[in-house]
Amino acid sequence: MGLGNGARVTAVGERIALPRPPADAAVRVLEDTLTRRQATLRARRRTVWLARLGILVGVIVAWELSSGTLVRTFFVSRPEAVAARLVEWTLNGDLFWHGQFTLTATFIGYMVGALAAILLAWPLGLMPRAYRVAEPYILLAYSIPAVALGPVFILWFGLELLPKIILAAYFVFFVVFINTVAGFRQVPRGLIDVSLVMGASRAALFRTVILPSAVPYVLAALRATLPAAMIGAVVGEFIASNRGLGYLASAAASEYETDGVIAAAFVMAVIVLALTVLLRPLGRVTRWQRGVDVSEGSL
Amino acid sequence: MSTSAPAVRFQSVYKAFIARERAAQPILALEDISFVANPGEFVSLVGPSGCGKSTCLNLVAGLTAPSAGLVEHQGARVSGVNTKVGYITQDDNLLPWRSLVGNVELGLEFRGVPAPERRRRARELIDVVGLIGFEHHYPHELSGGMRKRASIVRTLVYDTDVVLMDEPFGPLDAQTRVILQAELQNLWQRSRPSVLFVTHDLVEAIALSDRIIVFTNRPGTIKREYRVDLPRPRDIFHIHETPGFSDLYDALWADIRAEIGAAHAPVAGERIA
Ligand SMILES: Nc1ncnc2c1ncn2[C@@H]1O[C@H](COP(=O)(O)OP(=O)(O)O)[C@@H](O)[C@H]1O
Ligand SMILES: [Mg+2]
Repeated sequence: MGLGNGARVTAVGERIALPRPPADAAVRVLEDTLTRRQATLRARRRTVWLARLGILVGVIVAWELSSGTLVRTFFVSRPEAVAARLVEWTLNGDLFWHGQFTLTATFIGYMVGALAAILLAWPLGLMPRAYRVAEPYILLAYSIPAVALGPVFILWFGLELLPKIILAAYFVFFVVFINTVAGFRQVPRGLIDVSLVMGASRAALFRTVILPSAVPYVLAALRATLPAAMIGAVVGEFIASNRGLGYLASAAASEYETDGVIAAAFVMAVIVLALTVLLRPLGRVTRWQRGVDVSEGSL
Repeated sequence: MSTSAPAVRFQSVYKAFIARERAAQPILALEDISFVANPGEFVSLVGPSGCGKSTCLNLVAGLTAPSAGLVEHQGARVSGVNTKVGYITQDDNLLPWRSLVGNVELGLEFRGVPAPERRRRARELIDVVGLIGFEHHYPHELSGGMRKRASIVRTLVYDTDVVLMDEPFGPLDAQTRVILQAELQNLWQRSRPSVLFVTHDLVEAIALSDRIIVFTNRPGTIKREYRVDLPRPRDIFHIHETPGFSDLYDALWADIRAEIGAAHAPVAGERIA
């Protein structure tokens, strides 16, 4: 059967020549798709930022309107009073003077807690039986509310920086520990078996298979626990101190100066936010994987 | 191949498992398995799922030990992990954090081959399976067929005399399967290792094998062995037109069908017609 008479059915194996599509049409489709996608992404980003700004303005306006009408100003202060307090602390240097102590305790405590957690999780993650022995004690230690330990730490370690560092480390330790152990324990059995048959020594197995497999878990925990470190430091300052952002807040609270408490809390929140953004690149170290969720336990 | 010892030998091998840590009843996975694979021979294991085919490969790789009987590799009893065989597992088991070339070099690295030679040998085989240009891609950036090629080449690159393959083409689409079967035949003919090849695809078994061993339902015993006397090299793409193919296929399928039927027998101990 030929192609004449408008026949659409062809004999088995016969080749039908179809006209080639115009050469630039495909290129145009690809370009348009890219342009449209970029526009969508831009619009989406803009919407997100506008919504965020809207919420912020909304909260401040609601606060301003309700203070002195729905709620007594004594309880919630007013936005302009808090702003005035922030300006005052910035100009007289209180913010930086107190901030340095909190930041120091946060950083050192974070490092100490994370390092201790990794060093302890390392052997325990690799030795399932040892981990089973230790597990109830670790969970026991984890379930003690850290705030309750604060006064004990003050008793043991004095009133200076040390108890704050230890509290900060305590807040970091368990999340990093639990996630690092999980990282070592989740290595797929198949990867290990295949590597062993390929001739991997114990050291090579650890270096090339187990460690890289655990890294994303450790990094996710390190990213998630930075705010916890600051909470630990501030808890320490709340309990007993005459300096630090926690002290600023508690001193204001004891004078019933609500604006001071809110201003101090605001500063801490901004610092935590900045630190979190700062640590974001940690996640990109592992571009071969698609993100691991950190399990934060009860924190 | 200077010795006359079979490359792999199973002698009255039994394997029992306890399914869960606290389960009371062990189950028998393999019962009285005896067979050999000769040097340079391509042997397929077929049979219903759960009959112990993967367990056989794990025994040769030394990842698990027989409950009774003897598994030998080149005349020596396998005890502990057997690093002298290559094992291509059902999952590709590529390291997600290593590029294609990094994965292909892995075995050579473990075996202490110096870096330049590693590079050269890995690249040569990557070229054979047409993956040049993808050397620096991570596994998640490769298609299923490419990952399969990578995992095969990663094992063949360090030239063992026995290669174990567990349903390597299982999850692939029909066209990719056939192409990879042809590539595997070529790769195999380069160095001619003995191959123990697990598959559920009878056409694939016929196309590639010198011998096919059919297993019964669990506990797996050997039901029958078939010699595949089709001349080599074989045209994988037209294997079903080869004289003798249909008879062999029908016989194999009859064996397998009987086993699948037996698995669905309603009453334990009932005779199957
Ligand atoms: N590690 C194991 N623990 C317990 N049971 C197992 C284990 N490995 C295999 N089995 C059991 O042994 C039988 C054979 O398994 P397998 O060799 O994987 O079969 P196949 O590869 O032929 O499908 C199955 O019933 C399976 O459940
Ligand atoms: Mg299997």
